[in-house]
Amino acid sequence: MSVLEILGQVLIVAGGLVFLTAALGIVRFPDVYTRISAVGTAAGLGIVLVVTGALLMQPGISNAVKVAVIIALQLATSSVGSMAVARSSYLIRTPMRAKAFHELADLDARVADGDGSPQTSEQPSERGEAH
Amino acid sequence: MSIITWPVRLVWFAIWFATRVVISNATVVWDNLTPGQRSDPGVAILPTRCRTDAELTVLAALITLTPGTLTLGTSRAASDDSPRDLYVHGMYHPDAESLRRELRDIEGRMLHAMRRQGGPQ
Repeated sequence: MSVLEILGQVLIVAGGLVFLTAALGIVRFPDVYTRISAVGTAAGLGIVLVVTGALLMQPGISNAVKVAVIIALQLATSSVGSMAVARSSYLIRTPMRAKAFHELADLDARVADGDGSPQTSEQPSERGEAH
Repeated sequence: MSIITWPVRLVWFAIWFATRVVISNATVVWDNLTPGQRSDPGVAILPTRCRTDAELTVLAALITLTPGTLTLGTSRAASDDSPRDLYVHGMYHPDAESLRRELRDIEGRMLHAMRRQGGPQ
């Protein structure tokens, strides 16, 4: 077994572990925002590790091009998808648990009182209380 | 700064960002694997220095790709040219200011790499 193959297998296993921790994050994190954080990361980083590992096991120009396209598309779509889910969660007022600071809610409150800037009134003006 | 160093800056930024992602991913994994929750979730408003939609989109995507931070949305622009705010959810920062400081670091480096003439650091 060549060095490249060993390195490739290490990367693939590392990618699998990233997915495993993301699954654990879904179970253990308290609310929808932290869970999306965990999954969005894994979808980006995990896939990159797995396809790079596969490339090292079967190196070649055409495979390298495919891997480059996969990485670019995967990073773009996983982050845009995460943002879409997170944004819609916020817009339907999914509560945030154990929050240390929340400037957006402060902004919403100011907009609701009528002295916030009008162009930021896209978000809902009131949110469910967090526990 | 000139157009000649542009590709170098882009590649350097890609390497820097990849290292960052790995480091902050380790934080998330460690929090995940050890008992209890150390996270301090919160939402901060980040006033950006992005001039175009492309820059804002890339910044929002980079923030989401960094483990522990997540873009929730943007403000509406007052006019076509005025900069917009990003609403960012962070998991490992005690207050909004420290989260903003980290995000401004990413933003400065991203703009410096993306703009042909160089950008704010």
